[in-house]
Amino acid sequence: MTARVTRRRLAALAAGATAIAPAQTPVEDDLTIQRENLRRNREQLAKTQLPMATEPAFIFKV
Amino acid sequence: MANFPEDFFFSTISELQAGIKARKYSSVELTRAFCDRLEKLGPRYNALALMIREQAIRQAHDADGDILRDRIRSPLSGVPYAVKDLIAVAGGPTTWGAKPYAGQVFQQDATVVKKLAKTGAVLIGKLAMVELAGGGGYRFAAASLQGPGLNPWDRTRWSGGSSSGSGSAVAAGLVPWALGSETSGSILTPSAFCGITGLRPTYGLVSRAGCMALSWTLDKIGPMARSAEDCGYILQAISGGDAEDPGSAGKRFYYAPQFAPPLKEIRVGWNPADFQDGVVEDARGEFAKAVDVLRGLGVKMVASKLPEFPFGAMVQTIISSEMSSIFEDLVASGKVDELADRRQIAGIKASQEVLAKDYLKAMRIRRLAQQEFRKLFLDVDMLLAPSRSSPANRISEPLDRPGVPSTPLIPAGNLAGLPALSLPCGLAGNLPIAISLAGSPFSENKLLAVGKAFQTETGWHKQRPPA
Repeated sequence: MTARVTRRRLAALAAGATAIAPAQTPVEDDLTIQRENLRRNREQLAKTQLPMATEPAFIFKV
Repeated sequence: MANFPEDFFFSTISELQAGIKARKYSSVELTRAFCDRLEKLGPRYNALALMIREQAIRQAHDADGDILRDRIRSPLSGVPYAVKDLIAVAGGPTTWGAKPYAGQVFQQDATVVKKLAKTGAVLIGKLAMVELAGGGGYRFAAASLQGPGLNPWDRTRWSGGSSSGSGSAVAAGLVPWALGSETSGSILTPSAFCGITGLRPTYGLVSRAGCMALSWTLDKIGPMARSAEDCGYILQAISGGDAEDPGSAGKRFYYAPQFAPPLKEIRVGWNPADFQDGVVEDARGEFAKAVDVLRGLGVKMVASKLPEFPFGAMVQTIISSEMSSIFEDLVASGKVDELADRRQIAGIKASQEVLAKDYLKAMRIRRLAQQEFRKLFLDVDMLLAPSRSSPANRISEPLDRPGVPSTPLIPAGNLAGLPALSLPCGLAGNLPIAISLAGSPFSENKLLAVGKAFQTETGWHKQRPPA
């Protein structure tokens, strides 16, 4: 099967590609890195002990 | 037609308006000159998203008519400005710096744009930004529809994010001032990197209606300009309650530095280690001089430390969680893959997996942090820290490279909703560096009073990039 790509789509893709930095890591690695960041954040948050009465800052008015 | 010398384009708002009032030039002439400059030089810094020339000339005509009738609507009347491209301007594209939204058009102006129109300010364009304000955690400065924001001080360096275009356009004299936005660092960072003055207002003081949301509980809109005084005039114009913004505090700001307490009564909390171990070596001397200048103004320098919380993890978790809902459709449609930065794409996708309990934990710790800041501000009026620990990084360097010290006052201040003012304080290796003052909520007048005194004493804010 041959994918049909219009000239407009090709031009748009080419324009988008110029904005991408050359040294990008593979997509899967990036997802792994971001998931690892979330996990590290979770670990950091877990270190703080909270009294049960501490409610989230839901309605955030300073 | 007035012919303006290069220096003229680095004038403050007051200086520009004084020229209009004195009939040295009209607002139309001023607007045309800045439009020409922004259109010609904006692309040199990847700063320009959209020119709004015709509408600007009409606004400038109106301002000239007002001024002929001696009706000066505000200190901004007749003076051109531009906005970050996440602020809606009716009828033209508002791209949020991101390819999937390149064709997006709103039918209504954002509240801040409406407010500024009433003051007689003249909107001449929209400025580039990091795609989606960088909430996904981008790895390269090139994460923008317009390409990497180039720093007017050295085009191999970044102008900072996410208000990249606002930073470089003001620094290069392409606009007298601009609006930026901050979720966590996006006004302070480009202001510091580009050597301009930036003010992050108290959360809720400025309406975000009509602006892209990244994090409802963190987003703020604020001025980026040539001086603390200019920031005061701008904040006065854009502040105020707005039923269209659920986060609005329903308060207005009146710039009144004359009513701020005397400098000798102001207590500035600081941690000397922040200016030594926490910053790159060639910036230490300039930071030390800046602290000496503050001390010389008569303020009381008080040793102080930030309360200890995992600010970085908190702010990242909150942004990821709120963003996961805001950009849920972008991920579901697959258009997220059109973004420029792969790390950012992955970050937005991964955000869909943040657990509710993690968000709640971060928001509960945030409550404690806010309480601790309230206690801290019983002892000091404001906190001082370097705006950034180093000058602007190279465009080619990944932003997650190791060895760059963090600046915890940025996430901490944003989590607590505090206002902050970034003031240029010298050069390190020919690149600007800056200090930040963060105060208790709604203490902008106090910050601006210290900022103005600092700038009167130093003149660092008047330094401009090499031609």
